[in-house]
Amino acid sequence: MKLSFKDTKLLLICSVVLLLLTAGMFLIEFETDRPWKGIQRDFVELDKELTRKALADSQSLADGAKKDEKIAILEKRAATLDAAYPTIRQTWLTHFDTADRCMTCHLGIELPRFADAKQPFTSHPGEHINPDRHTVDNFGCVICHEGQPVGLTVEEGHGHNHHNWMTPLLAGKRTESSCEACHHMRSQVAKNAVMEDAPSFSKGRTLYLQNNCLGCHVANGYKRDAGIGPILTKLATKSDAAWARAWIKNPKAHLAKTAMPDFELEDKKIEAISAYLFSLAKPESANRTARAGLADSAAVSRGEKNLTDLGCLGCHSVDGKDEGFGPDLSRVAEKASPEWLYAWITDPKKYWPETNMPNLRIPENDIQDLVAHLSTLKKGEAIIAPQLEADPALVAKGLTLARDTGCTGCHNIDTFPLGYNAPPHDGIGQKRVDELVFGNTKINKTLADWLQLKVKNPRAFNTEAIPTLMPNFGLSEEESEDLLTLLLSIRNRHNIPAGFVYPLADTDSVKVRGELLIEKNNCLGCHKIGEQGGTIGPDLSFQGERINPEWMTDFLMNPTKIRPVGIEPTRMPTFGFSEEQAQQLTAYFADASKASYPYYQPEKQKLSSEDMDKAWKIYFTTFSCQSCHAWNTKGGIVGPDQSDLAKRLRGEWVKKYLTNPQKFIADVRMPNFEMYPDELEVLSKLIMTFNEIPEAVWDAIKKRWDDELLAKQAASMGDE
Amino acid sequence: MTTNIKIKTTCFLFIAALISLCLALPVSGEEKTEGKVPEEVPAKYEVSIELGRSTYQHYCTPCHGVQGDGNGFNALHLLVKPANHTDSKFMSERNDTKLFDTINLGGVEVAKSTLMPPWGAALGDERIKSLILHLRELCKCQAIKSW
Repeated sequence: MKLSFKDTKLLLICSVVLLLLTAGMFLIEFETDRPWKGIQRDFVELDKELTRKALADSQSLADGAKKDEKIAILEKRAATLDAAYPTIRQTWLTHFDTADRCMTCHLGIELPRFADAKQPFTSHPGEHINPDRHTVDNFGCVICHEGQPVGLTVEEGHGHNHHNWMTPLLAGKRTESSCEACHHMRSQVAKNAVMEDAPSFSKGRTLYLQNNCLGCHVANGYKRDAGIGPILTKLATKSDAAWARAWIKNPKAHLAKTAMPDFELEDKKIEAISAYLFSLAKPESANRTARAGLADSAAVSRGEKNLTDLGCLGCHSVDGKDEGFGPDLSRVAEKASPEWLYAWITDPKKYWPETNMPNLRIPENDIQDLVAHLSTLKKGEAIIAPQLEADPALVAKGLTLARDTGCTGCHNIDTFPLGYNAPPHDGIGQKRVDELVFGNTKINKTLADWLQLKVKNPRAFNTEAIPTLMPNFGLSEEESEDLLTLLLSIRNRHNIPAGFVYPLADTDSVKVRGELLIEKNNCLGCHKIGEQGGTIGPDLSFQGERINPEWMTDFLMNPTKIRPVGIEPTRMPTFGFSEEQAQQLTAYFADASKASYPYYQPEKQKLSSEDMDKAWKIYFTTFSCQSCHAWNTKGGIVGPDQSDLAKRLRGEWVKKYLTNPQKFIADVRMPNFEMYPDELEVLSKLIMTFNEIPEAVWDAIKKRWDDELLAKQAASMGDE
Repeated sequence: MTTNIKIKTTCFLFIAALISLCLALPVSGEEKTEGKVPEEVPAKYEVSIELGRSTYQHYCTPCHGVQGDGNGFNALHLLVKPANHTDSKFMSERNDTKLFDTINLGGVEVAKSTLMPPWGAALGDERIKSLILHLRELCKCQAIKSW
C-alpha cells in the first residue's frame, strides 16, 4: 500500500501531537512526583533574598579586608546558588549503615541564617548540632528523629500516613526519647537524675521509677526495686478493715499525693481483698506503754514539738498538701493504731525489713509523746478495734484477687513473690500498631496516641472481651506526655555502633553510686549538699574535705550525737548502712570535695614546751574555747565535744576552718577569731592531740587557767 | 612628758597614714581604668530591731538565755556568769559604743571576761548595731551617760 501525501501529513501531525503529549505527561509527572524540586526552588529564592540582604548590610561595614572578604563570600554564594540545585542530597551514615535524604528538603538545617525561616528550611534549634556533639554528616536526621530516611515526599519521609511504618517521625518533646539509645540512662543512676537538654525524658523517667511501673512491667535495662508500698502481711496489727476498704476504694481521696493508684475495683472485690489481708495476722491487744500519752494534752503538745525537733519533717509532711519522701501524716490516726505507731517508731525494720524509714533511737517517753500527738492527726474517725470475723469463702476469694489484681507489684503479701506479670515494656517504644488493642476509642491509630491515652486513662481500651487491669495513677496532661517520652525511649536499637555509646554519667563512678544511696535514704531531706537540701541536719557541702573517712564510715554505720542537744535537737538516725554502703558514701563526699581518698592524717608535729604553753593559753584564755566546747563532756555545750576531734576531722581542715568558719557554714555559732598565723599554727597542732591527753593532765591544765581567769575576774570586779 | 611623746607618736602616725593614703589613691585609679574594679559587695544586712532579735536568738541565747537574763543552757558550764541583759541598771551604765565594742571585739577588749568572744568578723557591723537595738529593748533602758 502506498500512502498519499495527505495521509503522510496527517500521520506526521498525529505523531508529533502524541510525542508532545507524552513529553507533557512526563513533565507533569516529573513535577508532581518530585515535590522536593519545587521546595528546592523556593529555597534558592529564599537564600538569594537572604544573601541580597546580607550584601546590603555588609556595605555599611567599615572599609577593610574584612568587608571585602565578606562581600566576596556572599557574591560567590549568590553566583553558585542556581547551579547547585536541583539535586537529591543524601548522606550515607556509614556507622549506622543507613542512608539519609532528609536534607534534600531541610536545606537550612545546619545554616544559622535560616534560624527564623519557615519549615522545611528552619535551622536546627538548640545546641544539638555542633561539631562537638552531633553533626549531620555523622548522625543525619533519622538517628534521633526516626522517620523513613530515603522518602522524598513529606508523607513518605515522615511516615505519618503509614500506620504500619514502624518508626514514624519524632518531633518536639518526643524526640528526646532517642537520646537514651546512646546516652544510656536506665536504672543505673538516681531516680531524679536529669539528662540535660532532655527535660521531658528526665521527668518521664522519674515518674516511671517513682510510680514503680517496674513493679508490674519488666523492661530491659531497668531493675525492679524492692516494693514501694508497705508490707501487708501484718496489716491487722496496724489498721482496721473499714479504713483499708476506704483506702483501696479511692486512695487519693485520703492522701492527695499518694503513690497508690486507683484500681477502680467494685465494692465486693474490695471487701474480699480486705477480708483476706486481715485474715493474715491477729490484731495486737491494747498496749499500755504505747497508750501512755494518749488523751494527755501535755504529752500531745510535747509530741508535736518532738515531730519537729527529732527531724521527722525531713521526710514527712503534716499538711496533707504534698507527699514527701515518707507518707503525709495529716491523717495517720485514721490509718494506724497507737500500738502499731509505737512499735513502728521504735524499730521500723522489725515490721517492714525493706523500709527506708531509719531508726531514730528515740527514748521511750519521747515515742509515747509522739504517738500521743500522731493519734490526734485525723480528719475522719480514728482507728477502731480492727476486729473482723470473715467468711472463709470470702477470704479465699480475696486471696485470688490480691494475687491477680496487681497488689503484689508494690506490696509484700504473705508468701507471694514481689512483682506482677503485666505485659513487658521491652521494646514498647517500637511496638507495631497492629499489636495494639484500640477498643472502642476513636483516637489516631498510632503508637504514641495509644500510649498517651493508656497512661492517662488505663481503662480506655477496655472491652468486654479484653478487660484491662492497669490502675489509674492520676497523671496530669503534662506528666502523661513526659511518661510517653520515656516509654517511646524503651526501644531495642541494635544499630548503635559501640563507639557511639556515650553515657552521660559513669555508672561505676563513686559519684553515681553515692547519688543513688543519697536518694534512696533521702539524705537531702535533712542535709544540705551544695545548693540543694534541708536544714534539719548539718550542711554537708564540705563534708569530704572536713571529715576523716575512717571516722565517717564508722559514724554512718553506727551514728552518735555530735552536736549538743541545745543547738541541734535532732540526731542522725541509724539507717543500717552496710560497711560497703558507708564506704561508698564516704568516698562520694570525698570525691565531691575533691579531697584525697583513701586518706592518711598528716603526721603529728611535736610542740616545743614553750609553744605548748602558748597554745594552752590561747585555748583557755585568749579565745576561751572551753566555754563552748567540752572535752570528754567537761566544758561548754554549744559546739561539739573536742576529745575525739583529731579522729573526726582532717588535719588540714582544722586550720582552714579556724581561719574563717563563716565561709563554710554561714550561720555557724563559732566566732571568727581572726587569729594571727602563729596562734593558728600552735592551736591547730594542739587540738589535734586532744585524743591522746590523759584526763588527769587535762584537769590539771584546765584548773591552772581557770584559777587565773577567776583571779583576773575578781581583780576587774574590784576595779569597777 | 609621756603625754608629749604620745601626741608626737599620734601625729606621726596620722601623717604616715595620710601619706600612704595619697600613695594608694593613684594606684586604685589605675586599676579602675583597667576595669579591675573589685566588685562592690552590697551590705547583706540592714540595721533593724527584727534583725537584732533573730541574731540574738541564734547567736547569743546559748549563753545569755532566751529571755536575755544570762541563764542560757550553756551558762552552767561557764566560770563567769554571762551578763544579764534584762538588768536595766547594769545595762544603762553602758553606752552603745561600749556595747558595740564588747560584741565586736570580745570581753577582753573592754576589760571583761575572755569568755565573751569577739563577734565582729563573724557578724559584721549591721548585725551588731541591730543587736544593740534589741539589747535596749531587752533592758528597757537607755545609756545614762556617754563615755
